[in-house]
Amino acid sequence: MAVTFEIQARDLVKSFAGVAALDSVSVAVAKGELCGVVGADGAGKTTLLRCIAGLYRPDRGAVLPGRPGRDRVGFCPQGFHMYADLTVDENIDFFGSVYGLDRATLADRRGELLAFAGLGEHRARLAGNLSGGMQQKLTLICSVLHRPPILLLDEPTTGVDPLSRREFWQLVEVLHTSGSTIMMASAYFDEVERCQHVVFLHEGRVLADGSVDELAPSGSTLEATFRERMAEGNAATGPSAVSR
Amino acid sequence: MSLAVTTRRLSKSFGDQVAVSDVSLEVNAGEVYGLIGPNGAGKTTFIRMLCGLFTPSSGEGTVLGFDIASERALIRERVGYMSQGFGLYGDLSVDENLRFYADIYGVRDPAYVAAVRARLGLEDVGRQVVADLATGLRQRCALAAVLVHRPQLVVLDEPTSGVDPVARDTMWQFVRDLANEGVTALVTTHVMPEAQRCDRLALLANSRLVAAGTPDELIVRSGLTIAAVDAAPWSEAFARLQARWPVAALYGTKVHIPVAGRGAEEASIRENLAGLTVKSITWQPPTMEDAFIALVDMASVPQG
Amino acid sequence: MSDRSGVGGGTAVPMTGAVGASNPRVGRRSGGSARRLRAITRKEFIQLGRDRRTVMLMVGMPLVLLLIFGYGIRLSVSNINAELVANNSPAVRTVLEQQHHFSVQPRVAKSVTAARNDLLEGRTSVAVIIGETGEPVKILVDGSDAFVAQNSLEYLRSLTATSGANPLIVDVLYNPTLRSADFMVPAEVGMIMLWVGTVATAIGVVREREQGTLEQLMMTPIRKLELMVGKILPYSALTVMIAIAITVLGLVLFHVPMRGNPFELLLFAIPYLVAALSIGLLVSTVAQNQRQAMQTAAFILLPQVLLSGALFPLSAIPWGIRWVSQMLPLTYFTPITRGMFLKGLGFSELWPQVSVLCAMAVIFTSLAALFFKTRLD
Repeated sequence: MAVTFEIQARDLVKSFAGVAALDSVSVAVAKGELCGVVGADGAGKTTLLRCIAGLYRPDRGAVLPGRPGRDRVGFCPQGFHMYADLTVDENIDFFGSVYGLDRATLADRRGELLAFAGLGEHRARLAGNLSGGMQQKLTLICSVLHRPPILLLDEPTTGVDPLSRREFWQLVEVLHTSGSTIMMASAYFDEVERCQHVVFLHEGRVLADGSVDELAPSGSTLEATFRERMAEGNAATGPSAVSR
Repeated sequence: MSLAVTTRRLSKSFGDQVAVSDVSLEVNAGEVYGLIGPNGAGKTTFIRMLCGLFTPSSGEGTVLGFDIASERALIRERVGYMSQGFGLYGDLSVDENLRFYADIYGVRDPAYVAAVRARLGLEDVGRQVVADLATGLRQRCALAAVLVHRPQLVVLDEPTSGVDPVARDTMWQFVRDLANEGVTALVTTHVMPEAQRCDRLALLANSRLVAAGTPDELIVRSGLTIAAVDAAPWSEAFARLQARWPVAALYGTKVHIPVAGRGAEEASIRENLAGLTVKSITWQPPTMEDAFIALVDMASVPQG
Repeated sequence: MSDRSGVGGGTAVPMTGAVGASNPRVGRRSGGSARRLRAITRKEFIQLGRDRRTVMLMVGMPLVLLLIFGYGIRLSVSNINAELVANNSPAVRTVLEQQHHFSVQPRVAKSVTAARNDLLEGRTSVAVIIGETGEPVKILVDGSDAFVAQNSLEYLRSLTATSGANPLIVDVLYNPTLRSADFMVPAEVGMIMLWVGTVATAIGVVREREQGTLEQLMMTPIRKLELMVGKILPYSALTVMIAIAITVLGLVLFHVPMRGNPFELLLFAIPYLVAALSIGLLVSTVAQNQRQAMQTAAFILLPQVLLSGALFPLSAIPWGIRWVSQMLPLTYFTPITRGMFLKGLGFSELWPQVSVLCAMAVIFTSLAALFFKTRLD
């Protein structure tokens, strides 16, 4: 049975000011799969996600879906990127109309997603006044208003308290089990353990790519494997200062 | 064994909004003490009272032997507060930042400042502008800036937020070294694996102290065990198990269910998965995060 | 599971004194005050040095202004277009030419009506009506540009002073009392529209970038043009409202005349507005945050106000710099506003300026569209 890949990067190269953020990165995520990309700060996780979303144009290499396919993609960026001076409802209305949803569909989806995220009673609050966890959930639901089959999450639970994180994950799980293909960047190994497919990214290169079982057979942890691979990688190319 | 921090029934309200209610705890000198809790639980307000930035509404406390209500200036001289957002000037270099804070605190020992910088591995990046540094390095610079005036207690507010795994590790090593030298560290964090590296923890929820003790004690207190269920097909197994136990979570292709006791549950699980291939059910202790959530849940259930 | 191992190796400098002991090196002694003061001052200097835009604004701007004021603007006006009417008079011609301020037309206007027409349409600023005997009988001065008019009256004194028994009548048209309000208010309409249009638009776009919402927008099906126009519309509405408010205030409070058709004025303002807003969009493409947007806008706007003829007459600006003025939208809008307010001009006279503004609108909008990115890189 042929596997369809919904998300793909092939020999992706992307540089900024002469520094390679991505150095020949290849990754493939099958339809319906939850893929976690873990790596250090500056490893290239955000750059990878943005290339896949079509927000950056790669210098070399191919990417799927990229810019032409961006109506199939929902992008949930790191940090808070909603309109702080608009209410929850107004934010949803705005993004809904920009995505081209008609009033009826938007009203339905809004109700559904607000309930889903537990934000129903906060509809009239200014987005800037929500707690960090709620803001992340709002960002998430606004990025799936148009029911995209592909979801890209960039470190969505950084700085969010464990309760909100758990709730956020439950949302992601529902989206996942309803068939979405999800690629998530994270700095936390325990989050990435929840994924079927794990990619280690370090200084723009893929250090490892496989399932949790493959990368952390019983007795070892993902973190230990990551360090090993990093040490190997550094030994081969020499240590480099981790700075932008 | 001296106490770095003591509080007795410490409370703070803003109008009729209660931020901290009736918190009594003790922190030993040289301890790495973690403050965890949901957002809005009162952690930041509590810390600010200890640092002398807020006056308590009721109750009392001491930091390094000084009273937090009446001897604030003395406390501030001895405490280093590393805030989120790191308190550094982004457009200044590492060296310039360190020099600035040294001057502000009246530290007249350039050799010492240089030693702090070396200790935290910042010599190579001294000239670099802070905004250009990777988060891990920036955070070490923030810690250096806090250490220049030789505090006896450091308060680290989410010091590893957004930092990669390796840099996080380095940070915690430094904190541990400090503790070994007698500097007490009060740390707030949302990263549960890190909370487990603290000597002791205090869990605050809804302005109250819900639990305090070593990480292991808290895990035991939660009364949970995790059933790791490996069944095929995994998506179907997850759907069924989640319907019966809403707290079930998917880990890769296994389903983790936090349960209160293992005996009866194993049978229920197998029953629930009738018709599917159950490869294994293993029992493991809960993670700090599981314990956290269970303890907070327990605290929100009214007693009686 | 607490980790008690320390890091081995490295110079183990103790990080602190014992618990409970006071730190002798830290304190609020008076000697520390000078140090702390120095620390803050030093930090501010360093930060200022790294903030090139602010430095450019604080140093560069005064320099530019100095150069403009020094070389660009002459408080005395030259090349005032003057003509003789009805009869030629070599004597008068010589007097005027000797002044070096006037540029006298070689031909003589046939009639007073023709001369008034020349004044109305701005071809001349001064007309000297010569009687049968070759003596100056009356002088007409275009008062809509108060600056030029004032200077002209000064320079003409040699003529008026020597008239002796027959006092020379000087008729200042359009703004008989040379009230500065009449001169300034129409110009202000243009200046304010430029300010608000440029700055508000720049900030509006940049704020989106700062908030991070621009990233989210780029993921949606929205097109570049839709985003640009959508951003511009509220600010254009705002700018028009402000312009109307100034006009009304000018009419009511200062009694500035409105001799032209206000609706026509509104119509002519449209290409000007589009040009100004497009400049705002261009500014937004080079600014990372709102503060930079404001600084860049200020840097562009102030020279514009000075060189456009709004404050100082174009004829006062030497040819070396005049080409800069020719490229500014305000340079073409000011004659439109002054002409319509004070002289009652319409499309038949102002069509050159309106055409240039339309061309500018197209050019600046195209530039803005070119530089406005819908990708993050």
